[in-house]
Amino acid sequence: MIKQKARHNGALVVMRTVSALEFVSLVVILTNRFTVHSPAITSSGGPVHGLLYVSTILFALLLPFPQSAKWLAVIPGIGGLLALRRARLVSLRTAVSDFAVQRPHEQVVLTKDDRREAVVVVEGAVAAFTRSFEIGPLTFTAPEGGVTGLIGPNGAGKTTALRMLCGLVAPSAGTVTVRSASGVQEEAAETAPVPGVLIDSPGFIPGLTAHANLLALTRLASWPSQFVDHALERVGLADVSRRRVGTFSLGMKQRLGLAAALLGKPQVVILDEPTNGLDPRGTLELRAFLRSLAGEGITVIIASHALDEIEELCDHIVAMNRGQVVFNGPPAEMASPLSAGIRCTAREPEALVIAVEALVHDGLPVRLVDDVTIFIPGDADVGERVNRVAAGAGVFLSEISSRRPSLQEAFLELTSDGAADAPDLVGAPVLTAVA
Amino acid sequence: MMIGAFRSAWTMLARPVLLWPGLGAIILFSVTSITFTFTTAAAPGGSRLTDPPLTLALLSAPNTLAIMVGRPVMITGVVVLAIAIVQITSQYSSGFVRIAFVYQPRRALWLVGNWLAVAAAAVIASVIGSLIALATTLVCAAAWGVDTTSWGDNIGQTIGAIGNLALGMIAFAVAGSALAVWLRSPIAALASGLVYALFENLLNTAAPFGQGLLPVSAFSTVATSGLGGEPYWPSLIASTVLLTAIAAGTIGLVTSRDVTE
Repeated sequence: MIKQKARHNGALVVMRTVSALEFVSLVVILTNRFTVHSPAITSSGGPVHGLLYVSTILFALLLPFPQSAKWLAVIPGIGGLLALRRARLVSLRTAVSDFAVQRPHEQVVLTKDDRREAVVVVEGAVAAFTRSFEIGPLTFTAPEGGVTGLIGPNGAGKTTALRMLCGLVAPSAGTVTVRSASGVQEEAAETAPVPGVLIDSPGFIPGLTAHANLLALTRLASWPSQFVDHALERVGLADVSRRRVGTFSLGMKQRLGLAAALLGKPQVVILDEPTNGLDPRGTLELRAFLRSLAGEGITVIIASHALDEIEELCDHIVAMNRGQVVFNGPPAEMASPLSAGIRCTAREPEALVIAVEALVHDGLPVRLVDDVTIFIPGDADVGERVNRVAAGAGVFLSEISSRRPSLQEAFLELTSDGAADAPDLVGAPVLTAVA
Repeated sequence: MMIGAFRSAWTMLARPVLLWPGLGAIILFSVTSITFTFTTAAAPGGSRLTDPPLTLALLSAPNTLAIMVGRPVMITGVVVLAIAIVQITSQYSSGFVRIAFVYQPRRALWLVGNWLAVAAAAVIASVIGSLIALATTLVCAAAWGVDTTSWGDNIGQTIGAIGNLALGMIAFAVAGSALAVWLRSPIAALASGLVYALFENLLNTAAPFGQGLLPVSAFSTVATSGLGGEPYWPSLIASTVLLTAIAAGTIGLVTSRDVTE
């Protein structure tokens, strides 16, 4: 009898704990901790939402009868926990979309010309890794017979974009298209001609010779075995083709990776950080080699952190930041008006202060570079205006020069969250409230 | 395409660093285990390791050659398992599999090609192991003066034993490949395989009703043609069912898993 009572009390404790949890869940949700980021919770729809209300009513009904309905009390608890989980997910998703909205850059939109001239077209492609983490939608092109550079900070999604092009990551939405030749025939990525790839580090079995590694790939793809010698000759490894890859230097492995990329005589070659591990001479040779590939009509797509390399090599740039494409076009267009502007220098700081006050009063977004230098975004016309306003304030500016940003500067600007860390202006405040 | 996938996998498999140590282990263990069998059988009262004790007189039985063919089954199984594991994991750990899947998007084809290659290696290892075992048996029989006149009566059984050894080894090879695909690390895969074998052995000791039906004992029973005491046919059926399930699961994993990390 005593034992039975104890078990009964235990059940009551469980029931009341679950009910208390349910109550806390309700309070948290109904006080709308998530309301700001969670329109789904405040809206009327959703089965979980419905379950929440049903469970609340059940909870209220069961309160006077805890002993007879002890097990039914579990239902409200489960409802509350589900609602909490849903709220967290929605909150996460909303936070991500809020971030996307905050980006200062517009989504890339392809024109008919873009599509016609490109051999690779990625449109609205999304790589979903989990329910709450995805890269994209990505939209960009790679013109035929050119070198396209994929740039972006670490974690921007460059490698994922390349993996989608290779078919290693299937897009959960959107399309990835590789054209077979000169835009004559368009096929889905899965059935398109296989691109040559060097992705991540060159992946070869160290115990096998260079020739055997490439031969294994050739046989797997059902290509003629003569392709192996041809590819090794192209990258200058024919003499060491019978040596085990384990004895190769990093540069040789990188060249072998390039040979693997060229193995199937591809029309599109995709290379991730191809100059990694190469010495300066090797880097220069590789750049020349890639240009020669483009000269043969092969479309080369490279991802790199070396912006000087991209600037020197590429006819087309795709810039990415935080899983989004923020620029798709020629390098000249990337060095955009965003950071073009006028740089002004005064002889003394006091003179500069007077000039800044006048310029800000005139509505110009002045940024302070140092004690005697300011930067004003805009085109050449702004220079005349600056000169006029400063002269009107009685200040003689010793230097007014127009400047256009380098690719590196443009990249930094595109991938920064705001203008505060613009090139040459890291930490410089935008002086809009001085006047 | 299938032939291409097989040839590709065989190109990777046929590397000296993988084959010579395996071959050496099989030869060494075959010679040692059979010599040991004859040595213990020659002791007064026969070998105490078997019940009834194995004597030189018993070794003159017609099925001796068939039994001896199955003698190196354990080491051949371990070697085949290791080769299969290294074959797959080396492609994963080096990153080779990423390029492979770009150039051959039909991943199941890649896997089947590898299975065919390790199965071929298993057959070769079985044949070599059997030949070494037969040669050693003949030499030992001559050395210990065992009557071999009845051995010729059961040539068919001996050939069948070699075939069964090959079948058992193919099963070990496919299971090893599957383990490698799941774990992607040679050490983890090999250790798991061996630890599982130990666990299954303990399980069979504690609850013998599973003898010959669980993976390791089923494959071993097939490999030894059931001459160790366990029934052959139930083990063959169990092996077939297990391998089908393993193959289906592994193909599903390979085709759906992200290989980029």
